[in-house]
This record gives sequence, C-alpha cells and structure tokens, in this order.
Amino acid sequence: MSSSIPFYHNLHVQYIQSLASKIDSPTSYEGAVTEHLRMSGIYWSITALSLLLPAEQVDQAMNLTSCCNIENTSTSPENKTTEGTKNQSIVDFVHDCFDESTGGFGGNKLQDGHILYTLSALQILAIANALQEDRFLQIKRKVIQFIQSLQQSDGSFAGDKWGEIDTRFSYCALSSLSLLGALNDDSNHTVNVQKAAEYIASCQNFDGGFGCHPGAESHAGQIFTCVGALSIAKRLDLLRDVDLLCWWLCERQCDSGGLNGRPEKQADVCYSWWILSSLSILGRVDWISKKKLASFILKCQDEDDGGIADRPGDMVDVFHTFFGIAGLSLLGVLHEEEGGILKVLDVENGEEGGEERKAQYRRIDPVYALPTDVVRKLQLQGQIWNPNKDSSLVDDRLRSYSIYNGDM
Amino acid sequence: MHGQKRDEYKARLKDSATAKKLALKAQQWNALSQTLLKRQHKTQEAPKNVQADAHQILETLHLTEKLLAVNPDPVYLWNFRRELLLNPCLPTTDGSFLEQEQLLTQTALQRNPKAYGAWFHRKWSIRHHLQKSTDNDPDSKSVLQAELGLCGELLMLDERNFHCWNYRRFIVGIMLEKLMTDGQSAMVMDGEWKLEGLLEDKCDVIGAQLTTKSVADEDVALANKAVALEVYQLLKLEWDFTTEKIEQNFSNGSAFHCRSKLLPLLLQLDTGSGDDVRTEYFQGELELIRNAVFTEPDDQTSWWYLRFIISWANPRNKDDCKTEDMELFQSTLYEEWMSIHELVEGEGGKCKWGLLGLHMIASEMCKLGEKGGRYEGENWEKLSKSYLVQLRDLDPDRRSRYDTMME
Repeated sequence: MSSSIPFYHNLHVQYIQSLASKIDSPTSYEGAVTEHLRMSGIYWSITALSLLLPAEQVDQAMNLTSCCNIENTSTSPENKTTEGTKNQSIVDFVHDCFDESTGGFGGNKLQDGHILYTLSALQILAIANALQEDRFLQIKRKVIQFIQSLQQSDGSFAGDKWGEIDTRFSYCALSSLSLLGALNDDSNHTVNVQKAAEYIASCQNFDGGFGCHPGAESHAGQIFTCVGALSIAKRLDLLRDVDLLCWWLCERQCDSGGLNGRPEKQADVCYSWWILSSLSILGRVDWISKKKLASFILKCQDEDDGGIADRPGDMVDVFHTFFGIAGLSLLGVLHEEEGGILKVLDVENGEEGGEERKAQYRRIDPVYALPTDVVRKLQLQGQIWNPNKDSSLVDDRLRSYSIYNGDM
Repeated sequence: MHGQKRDEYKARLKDSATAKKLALKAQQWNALSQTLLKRQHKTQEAPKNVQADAHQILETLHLTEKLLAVNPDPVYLWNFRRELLLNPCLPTTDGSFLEQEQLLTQTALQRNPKAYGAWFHRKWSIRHHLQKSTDNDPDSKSVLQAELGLCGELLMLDERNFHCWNYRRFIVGIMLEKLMTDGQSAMVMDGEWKLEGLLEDKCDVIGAQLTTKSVADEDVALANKAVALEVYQLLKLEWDFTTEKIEQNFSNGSAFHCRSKLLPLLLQLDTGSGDDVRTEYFQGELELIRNAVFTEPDDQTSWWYLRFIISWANPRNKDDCKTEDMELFQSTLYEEWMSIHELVEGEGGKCKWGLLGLHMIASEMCKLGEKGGRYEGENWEKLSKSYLVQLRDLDPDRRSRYDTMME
C-alpha cells in the first residue's frame, strides 16, 4: 500500500474558497443545476474549511458573518441573481432563504422551506455562532413550529407540507431541534421524540440496516440518519442486534479500501462519512481497516486543483470534498496527537506538517457533522454505544455524550 | 460530478465550444427560473397570490415542465407544479392529467432515475388521480398494473434502484388497500401495506411513503377468507418477481431484501398446513441460496440472506416449539454445513463468506447442542474457533471483529 500520498491541504483550501465565485456566476452550468441545494452546498464548504482552518480564518475567507472581503474581481453588480452571495455575508444569505410562509428555510432564495435545507441553515448558523442573534431569535419559534408540523402520527417526518416521508427527514428534524435547544421542551408541545425514535427503529431490516421508511432496503446513508437520530434521541437501546449492523457496515469496505453503500456496489468517498460516523457512534470503528480507508480517500484527491472526488480519477465536487475531509478527520489522519496513521504533508513547502498545522485542525463530531467545539459550546445532547464496558476507551470527541452499554 | 472522469471533464470545460454551450444553458435556466419565481409572487413579506388567469396558469405549468424535464432535482419546482395543478382555475381536461404527469415524470426519470422529487410526484399524481375516480373504476386496476410494468422496465435498466423498488411497493400497497377495503371506503393510498386483522403474528410490513390525513381504523381492515386469498395471490406475484430477478442475477440485494419482507407474510397467508409450509419455504430458500453461493461464492449478497433465513427458521422463535421441530432444524443446519464445507474445500479453504457461513452454523449448533455441544460427532465449539482463526488470516482488514468474536 502506498503510504506516501500527501493530504493537499492548501489545494483543498483554495478549491473551497474559489467555489463561491465559480458557482454564483450566471454562466455556471453547475451553479444553475445545483442552485436548489445551495444551502447544503454552503454547509459542506464551510464545515470542510472549518476542519482545515481556524474559525477566524474561515469567517474571513468565506464572508461567513460579514462581507467586507469580496475577493473575486470577476463579479459585478449585474451578476447578482436571486441566489448570489455577493455583497452579503453567508449569514445574510441564510436569513434571505427563510420562507416566511412555512417557517422553514429553502435551498435558495424564494424557494420553499424544506427540512433538509432547514438543517443545513441551522448548521451554518451554529458554526457562525449566529443562533443568538436578534434576527434569528425573532424567527426561532416559527422554525420550531415548522419542524413540529412535519411530524406524523406514527412518529415519522415529512420533508415539507407535500408529505414525502423519509428517515433522512427524521434525522434533520431531531438534529435541528437539538441545535435549537427545543428537543425536550415540554412546555411548548414539541415533537414526540419517543415516537420518532420508535418509528426509526421500525425501519430496521433483516441485515441489521435501515432504509428510507419501514420496508425499504438498507443503505449506508439511511443508516447514518437512523443511528444519528437514535443517538440524538438517546434511544440506541431500540437497536436490534447491534453487532449485526456493525458487521454489515464493516463489510462495506472493498478491496480498494474504500467503502460502498450496499453489498456489491462501488466504493464512494461519501460513505467514508456515513459509515464511519455510524461506527463511531456504535463504538466499532476498529472493525474496518482505517489505514486502507485513509489511503483510498487520499487517492480521491485532485493533486492539481484540489478537492476530493467520489473515487480515484473522477471529477471533484464540494459534496465529496467535505465527506472525504470529514472521513479523514474521524479516522484521526488529520490529527497527529491521536496517533494518526499518515503524516500530513504540506506539498507546497515540501515538508511535513508542523505544530501550527496540527493545532489548526478542528475535529468533526459524528452525530451532528459539525466541529466538536461547536457541538460542545451548544451543549448538544447525544448518546453513544460503548461495547467495551471500559469507558476510558471512548473516543475523546464523544465524551460529552451519554453512554449506553447495551445492558437492559 | 459524481461518477465523471476528471480528465475528460476538465478537457470538456476547456473546449470553448462546450463551454459556450454550457454557459448558454445556464443562462437559459436562470432566465426561466427567474420568470417562474416572479410568477409565484412569493416574497419575504407577502404570501403567494392565487392566480386566477387560466391562460397564465397553463403557461406557468408549461414553464415548470420545461425546467423539470431538464433538471428534475429541485423539489420547489415540483411543489409549484402541484400548486398549479390544484388551482381551481386550471382548465380541466378529463383523463389527461395523469398521462401528462406520467409523461413528465418518465422524462425526468430517464434523465435522473434517482430523482427523489420525480418519484414523489409520480406517487402524488397516482394518488390524486385515483382519489378523483370512482371506487369501482376498472381504469384504476389497469393504471396500477401499468405502473408495475413500468417498475419492471426500469428495474431491467438498474436492478438495484431502490427508488424503483420503493415505488413498486407503493403501488402494491395501494392494490392491497383496495383488496382490504373492498373498494367500499375512502382509501388513504400512502403506500403502507395495511394488513391488520389478516395476520395473526406481527410482521414488519412496508410503511407509508407519503402523508395522508388519517382515516378511522374501522374503515380500513375487513379481514375475511376471500380477501386473504387475493392478498396471498398478489404477494405471491411479488414473490415470483423477486425470484425472477434473483435468477437473472444472484447479486440482487434489493430482490433479496424484498423477499425478506414477503416471506413472513406469505407464511401466514399460505393455506397449506402449518409446519409443512414452513419447512417447504425453509428448504426452498436454502436451495435458492445454495445455487447463488455455488455460482459465485465471493458475492456476499445471498450470504446475508442465509443468515436471515437460519434465524427466521429457528423453532426457538416460535411459541410452540416442539422437539421434532428442533431436531429437523438441527439436521437441516447440519446438511447446510456439509454443503458449505464442500464449497469451501472446493475453493481451497479460501472462501471468506463460506467460512463466515460455517462459523454461523457452528455457533448455532453450540447453542442448540444438548449433548455437550456435539452433534454428529463434531465439536462445534472447536470448529467455531478454528473458522475465526482462518478468517483472521484470510480477511485481515476485519481482524478486529474476529478478535472480538473470539473473546
């Protein structure tokens, strides 16, 4: 196995920083066809960058909380479209996407509120430390009510008023409410968290995995949303046969070292996140070869222009860049002090990563997919499964969560 | 850029003709979607105005069609289309509503067979159409049958498309609902397989895929013998469909998953006499799995199903577990063990999934063994450990799991 592929830190930073001006251009085809999910795109880029740079630098580089640095000169006032982020900060953009008529956030301006983009919006505001701003507090109740309105009598969640049901939406709802501190708010008729958890549990399949709704096929992405939601609800006890689930998850590792989403499918970098985070919550990350996975992710980098692709040799995109970096973070590759497997190399300087570089790397939380310091600051609740009975073996980033040992 | 080769993609971007074309497409898209958003009259301050101009509604509808045919992913576009379709000022054209939406979603799905928005819209359209037609409309039956046909076609193109499998189960859910309510009451048509009253034992069934206003329970279930037979026949057709898919390609995890849901249902509805039916299904499934694993031992698909089948067939899970049942189960397991043993030998011992299968059976034998862990003279505990040792060598990536199992 080649252990000499560096992590192209600077290239990835440049790639992420250059995205906005590329995507927001009115002649960008990619920008046009992804316009509807801009909110999520921004969340992926901000969070990825947050794992590579200290918070202040992220803020400055991305105009997160203020818009004083408009770097790219290829923009002009005529370029402003409904989805442009020029002349406004990202937090401004998020607020512009608030859909008054529903109480949710749309994927872009003037688009219908949906639970998916509501979570992305809240995640961005959390990173930007903007959840206590007046303008957010003014709409907070409406956002909570929007989420409440989506829960069905069986505990499931719709994505919006049109009624599509999917366990992804259960995760988005619980995570959003947790970010808002409204999960256990008895006085305000919040959602029924227990019913939500029971519904999710009813989605467990013959192989231990979870799908979009009861009866749907197991899929690694859906498994993350279900395990994550049960963690937030602190109902991991509802999982049947955790060992079977963890076995199914670890068998997603292919010969290439990459992970696939279902048996006999191709490996894809994004599963590095969906599966690794699930295994982190369930205490079984060691059931895969971390070395080979890290190597696979590194092979998916674009060594010329930065960014990470779904698999080696493919074109990069921000989605896979985020999940690739998040995966490396969970593996500990970006953090030498965790006994990281591969050294972080700075290609430009031709030297190994120095102390300053290591200190900059924030970590990612597997339950909320946010930097751990953000999760701790907001005191977000969660639960992890510790099969080892020895709590000293619990990963440092999970220590603030309650531990379930599997005892009844 | 999921799944697109980097060098080709970058070369295309550099090609000025392609770049111009894409830039034009982007501008066209932006212009159209801007027009649409203006028509929606949606602002931060004021709610939407209901358009009263029939001509304008049709025009806007056509606009959504143009956009969605190119890019079916934006949910807000489908939302807007539905609002227009529900607008009371929309001129009614009998019969063409469903065809129109079927055509659009089909075009969209050809573009992106995994577009959540397109699949949801199709579900919504079918339900909307069926709610407007009368209960005994023969058209409903053929509409639903045609949808199953579409699923069959799409699954020929991509047999693992879970959206398509979900949609198939959605349609079957509506068919079941029709049978269960005898078309006598308002149906919710959310895709849930509502079989309460028909089953004695609780089964995992298919859940709702869209929301509905809840209907009183009394309206829904009318369990009687005649219905049971029709329900059985419908589910048997689905069962046969999964058999067909598996025989086309053993590596079809989606078909096996579907089968895992159908099996417990069929067992309860199959009018053969109790225990023999269970044994028949058990043997049948073992044979199916055997064909698969002997054809392609390294494909993990059917091995997962084997684990499920063995667990499902275990008489311990039944209320009235008789000694004869346990004996039959144990002897069947032993036969299976011999079969897999032969397979692994044939692969020179280098058959990871075979070894996992052997370990699974050995562990089960340990649990079942009343004679101090022995059956047919084999020491199952010793065998179990030896399989783990072999697996540790053969599958080093998952060494940690095997170590855990050895404890």
